[in-house]
Order: sequence, then C-alpha cells, then structure tokens
Amino acid sequence: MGLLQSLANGLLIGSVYALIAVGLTLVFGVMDIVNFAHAEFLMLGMFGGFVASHHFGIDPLVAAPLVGAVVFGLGALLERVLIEPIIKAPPLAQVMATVGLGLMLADGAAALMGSDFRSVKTSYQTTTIDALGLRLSATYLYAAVYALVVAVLLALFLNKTEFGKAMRATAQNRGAAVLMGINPKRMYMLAFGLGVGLAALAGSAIVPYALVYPFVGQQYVLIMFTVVVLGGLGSVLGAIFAGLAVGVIQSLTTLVLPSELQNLVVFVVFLVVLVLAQGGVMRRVRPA
Amino acid sequence: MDSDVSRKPTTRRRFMTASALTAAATLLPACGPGLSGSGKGDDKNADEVRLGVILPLTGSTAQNGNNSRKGIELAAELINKAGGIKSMDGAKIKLDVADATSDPAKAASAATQFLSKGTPPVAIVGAYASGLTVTVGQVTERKKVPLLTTAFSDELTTKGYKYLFQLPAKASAVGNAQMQYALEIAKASGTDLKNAAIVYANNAYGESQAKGLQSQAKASGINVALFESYDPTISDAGPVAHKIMAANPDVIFSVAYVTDGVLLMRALKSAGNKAPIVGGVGGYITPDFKKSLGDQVEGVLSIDTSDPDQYGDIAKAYEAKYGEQMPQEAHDNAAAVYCFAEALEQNPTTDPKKLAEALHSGTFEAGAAGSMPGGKVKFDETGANTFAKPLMVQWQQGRLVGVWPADLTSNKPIWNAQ
Amino acid sequence: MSVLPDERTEPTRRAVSSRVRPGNAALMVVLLAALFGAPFYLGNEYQVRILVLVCIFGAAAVGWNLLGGYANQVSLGHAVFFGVGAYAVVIFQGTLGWSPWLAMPVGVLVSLVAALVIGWPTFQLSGHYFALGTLALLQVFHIVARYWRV
Repeated sequence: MGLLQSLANGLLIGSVYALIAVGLTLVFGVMDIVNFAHAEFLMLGMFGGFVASHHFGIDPLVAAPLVGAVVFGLGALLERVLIEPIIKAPPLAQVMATVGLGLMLADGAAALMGSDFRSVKTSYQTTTIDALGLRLSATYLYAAVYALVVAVLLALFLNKTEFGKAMRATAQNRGAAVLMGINPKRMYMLAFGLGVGLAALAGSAIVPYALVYPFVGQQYVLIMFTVVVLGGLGSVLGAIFAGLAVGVIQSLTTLVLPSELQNLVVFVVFLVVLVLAQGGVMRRVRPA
Repeated sequence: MDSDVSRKPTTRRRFMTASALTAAATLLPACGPGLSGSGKGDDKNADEVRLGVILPLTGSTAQNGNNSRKGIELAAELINKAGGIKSMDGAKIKLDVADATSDPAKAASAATQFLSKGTPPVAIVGAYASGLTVTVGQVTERKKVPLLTTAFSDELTTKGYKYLFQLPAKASAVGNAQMQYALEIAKASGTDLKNAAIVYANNAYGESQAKGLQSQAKASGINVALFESYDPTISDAGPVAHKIMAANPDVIFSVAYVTDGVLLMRALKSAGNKAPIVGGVGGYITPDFKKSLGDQVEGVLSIDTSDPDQYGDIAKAYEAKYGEQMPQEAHDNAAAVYCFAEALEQNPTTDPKKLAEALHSGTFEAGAAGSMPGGKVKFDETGANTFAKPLMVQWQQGRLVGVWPADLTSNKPIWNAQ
Repeated sequence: MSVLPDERTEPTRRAVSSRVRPGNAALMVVLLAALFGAPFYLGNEYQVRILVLVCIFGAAAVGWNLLGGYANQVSLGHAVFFGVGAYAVVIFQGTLGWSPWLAMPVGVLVSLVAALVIGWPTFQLSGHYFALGTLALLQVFHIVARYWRV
C-alpha cells in the first residue's frame, strides 16, 4: 500500500471523472451553456446500466454504448425543447432552467424507479487484478479503460469527421461557422446530445461498483464542475487532464485525511482557483 | 438582440393571483378530513385495536424497513388468527402503515400526520433506524402514545421519555459485545488480534455503536488502527476500502445498513482484503445481504440482538410465507407486536396512557417476545429492555446461525472462514 | 460572435412593480393574519406543521430573492446560511442551555457574520462562476458539518 497504490487508484477513478466532465465542457464550448443538470444525465446512465443488468441480464459495460446512445437521443430532444430558448438568455435564466431540468430528472427517476438504493451483481465485482505489484480493483480498471477508449474515439471524432470539425468550428466562431454553411441549431443538438450521452455512458460503466439512486447525481456534480473549470471551460483535452488530476488529488488526500473529507481538499482547491484566477483559467479554450 | 425573457407584462395583480392560486393548490392536500376525532375514551369493547406502523419503506434503508414490516404483518396475522386479544372479546389488531422514508425530518412529519388523522392508534411500532426513531419519538412522546422500537441508539432511553420502549440491547452494549465476542472467538481458535479497523456509517446508529466498539477496544487492549466514519449514501465505497487496506488490520468491524454494507464488502474484496469482517447488525444479518453477495457472505460474523436459531414457529411461518430466512428486524418487530398484544391481554384498554403503564409493569413472553434473548421482555422505567443481550451470529452454509457466547447460542463459530 | 456568459447584456427586468396599492395591502394583511392565526383555529397538528414549513421556506426564499431576484446573481449555496442558523440555535439552546428566544436572534447574527465572511471572496465572482462558487461552498459546508463533532 502507499503512495504508488494511491496514485494508481486516483488515476483509475480520475479517468471516469474525465469522461463525465468531457461532455460538460463540450456543451459549454459549443453552446456557451453551463448545464447544471449534467450530473442527472450521469444518473440516467446509471439507471440505464442497472436496468440492463437487472432486468435483461446484460452486463452494464456491454450495455453502456446503447445507454449512451439512448440518452444522446433524449439529450438532443431536450436541447430542442428546453435549451434552445435559453441559449441567449441571461445567466439567471440559464441556471434556473438547467437546475430545474436536473430536479425534474431526479424526481422523475424517483417517481418511476423508486427512491431505493440499488446495486447490480456482476461476476467480476470482487476480482482483484494484480499488476506491477499493485492491487487494482477490476471494476475500477474496466471503467477506466472504457473512459480511455471513449476519449480516443472522441478525439478522432472531433478531429477527423465532418461533424466533429463542424462542432469545433461552431465553438471557435459561431458567425464564421454559419457563413461556412454549418447549421448551428443542428450543431447544438448534436453537441448537447453528445455531451450528455457521454455522461450516461460513464454512468453505465461505473454501475458495477457504484450505488444507483435518483439523487446520486449530487455526489458527482461538484467534482465534474471542478474538473471542467480546472481544465478550462471548453477544452476537451483540459478536462481529461484535470479529471485525472482531481482523481489523484482525491486519492492522495485520503492517505492523510479521513475518507469523509476526501472531497474537501478538491473543493477548496476549486474555490481558490475560481476566485484567484477567474478570467485567467476560465478563459474559453478551443476544444483540442 | 436578446430575446425578451418575459412576454407579457408581469403586473402585481397577475403576480398576486398566481401566488394565491399556488398557495391554495399546495395547501389543499393538507386540508384533509382534518379535525382530531372523538376523544380517546377507554373503550374495552372495541372490536379492533389500532396499531400504527412507521418504517422506512423507501430510500436508503428500505430493505430493512420492508423486512420489519413483513415481520409485523405476520405477527398481527398470527395473533388475530389465534383469536385476537381475548380479554377484549377477541378484538383484532388492525395495522396502519406509514412510510417514514429514510429522512428523519420526513419521518417526524409522517408521524405527525399519522397522529393527527382522526382517532390515533393505541401504540406505534417503528421506526427501525435510530436516526428516524429519534425524531419520531419526539412526536410520540409529545402526543403521549407508546412507541415500541427495535432501534438501539442509546439516546432513546436517556431522555427521560415515558412512552418509548426499546426491545434490543443499547447500541453501546451492542458495540461492546461486537468487539469483545470477536476477540474471544479469535482467541478460542488460537488467534491473537492486534490491530482493528472500525468503519461506521455517520448516522445515529453508526455513531453510537462505534463508540461502544471503541471503548471495548480500549478495555481489551487491542489497537484501533483506523476509526473512520463514512456517508452511508456514498455511491462508491472504494476510498473507504482503500483506507482500510492501508491500515493493515487483522480484523475489520463494520457498522452499516444493507446498501453501504454490500458496497463495502465488494470493495474490500476487490481491493484484495484478507482480514475477517465482523458486522454490526444493520445490513449484515439480512437475507438481502446474501442475495446481493452470494457466496461472499459465507463465514461473515455479525453481532445480533436475537438468535435466529431460537425464533421457533414464527420463523417457520415467515419462511413459508416469504421464502427466506426470517431476519432480525422482522423478528424483533414481531416481538414488539407480541408485547403490545400481551400488554393488552393483561390490561384491556384502548387508552394509550394506560397501555404505557401496562408496558412498563408487565413481563412479556408470548410468541416472538419469547424468542428474544433471555426468553422474555421487560421494560424498566427508562424504557430499556432489562433482558436484552447481544450475541454473535455467523453465516454458515448460507444460513445465519447463533454462535457466541455458548450460554446464549447453540452453534460453534468458525474463525476466519471468509 | 460569442461572448463569455457574464458579459451578456441583461434585458431590464422588472418582475414586480414595487408600488403597493391599498387594496392589495389589505389583502396581504388578511392573508398574513390567517396564516399566523392558524394554530388557533386549525385542530390538526399536521396542517399547522405544514404551514410552519411554508413560513420557514418562504422566509429563506425571500432572503435568496434579495440577491437572485433584485441583483440577478444566482446563489446555489443559500442553504449554507439556513444550516448555519440552525446549527447556531442548536448549539446555543441545546448545548449551552440558552432560552430559544435568545438563541434565535443570535443564530441570525451568526449567519450574518458567516455571510459576510463568505461573501467577501465570492463576490469577486459573478454570473455562472458565482453560482458555481456558491455550489462549492454548499458542499464544503455539508462535508464540514457532517464531520465536525461539537
């Protein structure tokens, strides 16, 4: 045990944070919207993974892409209906609308699925993988690998495909993108759907080790915002590195502080960065 | 050009109308058939006695709450089938069930609502979880309605309440026993334990029992390598498990409900843990535990407030009805119902105050009350059960059996069988 | 061309006119009397409890509105001050044994001091960043409150 083990655990959990946050930063980058309901889409993904496992016997990791796709569709639809009207609205309206959306999703899930806490049973839940003298929990490792693969695919999408390049163009300069023949409304739907779809994918991937309940989003909300702000709002690459960093900070904190306080250091760092560097770190960076 | 957020001018009149309508809409449900009903006269000839049930049927402790409800329903069913309260002309027990949710403030609201609707029940059984029982107890004490509970937080019997009756042993005693018996069992198998890790949920139940564990650890001379609380609603028990592993304990004491207990067990195993785990009632002694963990429960020890081997006929009836071994919370709550019924038999009444006196003065051994430790239940003036005694149980071959101490149980413990 | 969120121009908002007309004032007095007199004419404790909660949450919401409605800054951490006030009363009344009538105004003062302390750094922020900052404070308070044993 010790530093190396803690570091490894931190990187594993950090990859998941990165995946969750990437969607959030993408939405901000393309649409200038801070989606306070992002954590609830993570929760939807977790329920998706739970339902797949519990009712259909499909492993949550296998079901994750499907869950992500479903939530992508839902996200695109919600974008059209709820987000489109507030894109040019003042921050108050945006915050209220997305916070309200989050509440609706959480309470809707509670009404539909019940507010009980649930977990799934998989064959590899208690497996330890011994590598390089470290003991890694299989469920963490699989989720981290998943996050890595998806990150690579996302990078390819953004850099190599027409849609991806169009999204980046819209983020860089909306007016110029329109002049180039890109339909911003369609980009918004795509970006929002993709953003929340990624969160849902992550949700399904962590179901093997995480507890599922309608208000679980609250546990991840601030972590994801910390990652996004530290990485630079709008920067996908920044979100990935910041995600890993936050995971490591969290893990190293538990070496010296009680595990209950593991998030305290992260949030204090966040607050300090926010206040000291506001404008500096938060300057919009083009999605890399 | 920014789109205008509001389309119509918002005048004061519109605002007032909207607020008034909203206020009316929200208050409407509360204006039920409201007024408190006919006085609580002493009616010895009623053909039914109402017993209120307040349990967490949803939320993080839902499994335990539902198990408790099943035990209560079974007990009432058996008593009614055997002729009801014979001294009250065969009056049948009628249950009124309310959901406390897993939130203490909502539990108190549920209790208040319960006791404000028409004629209040003669007594209430609930609310399983210590945190919920503390707030529900405030309501029942104010309304002078007896509350029979299987929650074991110490503070329930130290507030000078006259209407609170606690069936199991106190949390501090349970914690003490959890530590002491584990050490004894290990010693009997030739193992000397040096380092213990104590992890507990940071609610009323976890905190009070953990204190008991800690004080006994000090008394027994074992080193507490880790004493840590965690939020039982955490979604991921990985950090806690890693912290435990880092402390390198010989034995792990856990105080948890079902969901956090399951998560912790899985996280510990996947982190490569080899130290034996001793549970603290809560989730460790429920069939849900076995359902979620399968073979992993084999050999897990836990402290308990009653011996499953001695549940007798009611356990058979439970297993026949629900298809699983009768858990502690179902049995102990059933015992509460039997105490209620026996107190009424001894002192027929529908007046909650008179029932409280009967509960304080009587000794109860009918039905499930007879399979509590010591064979009977008697409440002293603080409401504590003088015969309550914790004992150690273990999962052996998929069944929970009592293993320690020898004078209270009938099976043998196997150390480090996990 | 896109701009940072806090640089957007805000349309002038006047949600509610601030002139009080006599007819509406009378209505408000009647409603308030009905609300505060409820414990006397409502026999049902549950209904009274609900109305008490209405008043409590209403008061907290009015406080939030001072910042949110009039100044357009969304504080997502308002509950922190609710909590500080509640904890202050529990400590003064419960642990120190003061009378509740004394503990409550002291609770208000403690919350006020907390707001000043918290406000000083966070008012460097605005718009979305302010919302995020207050959200972080809420979580920090939550963690500290659960962990700190007084």
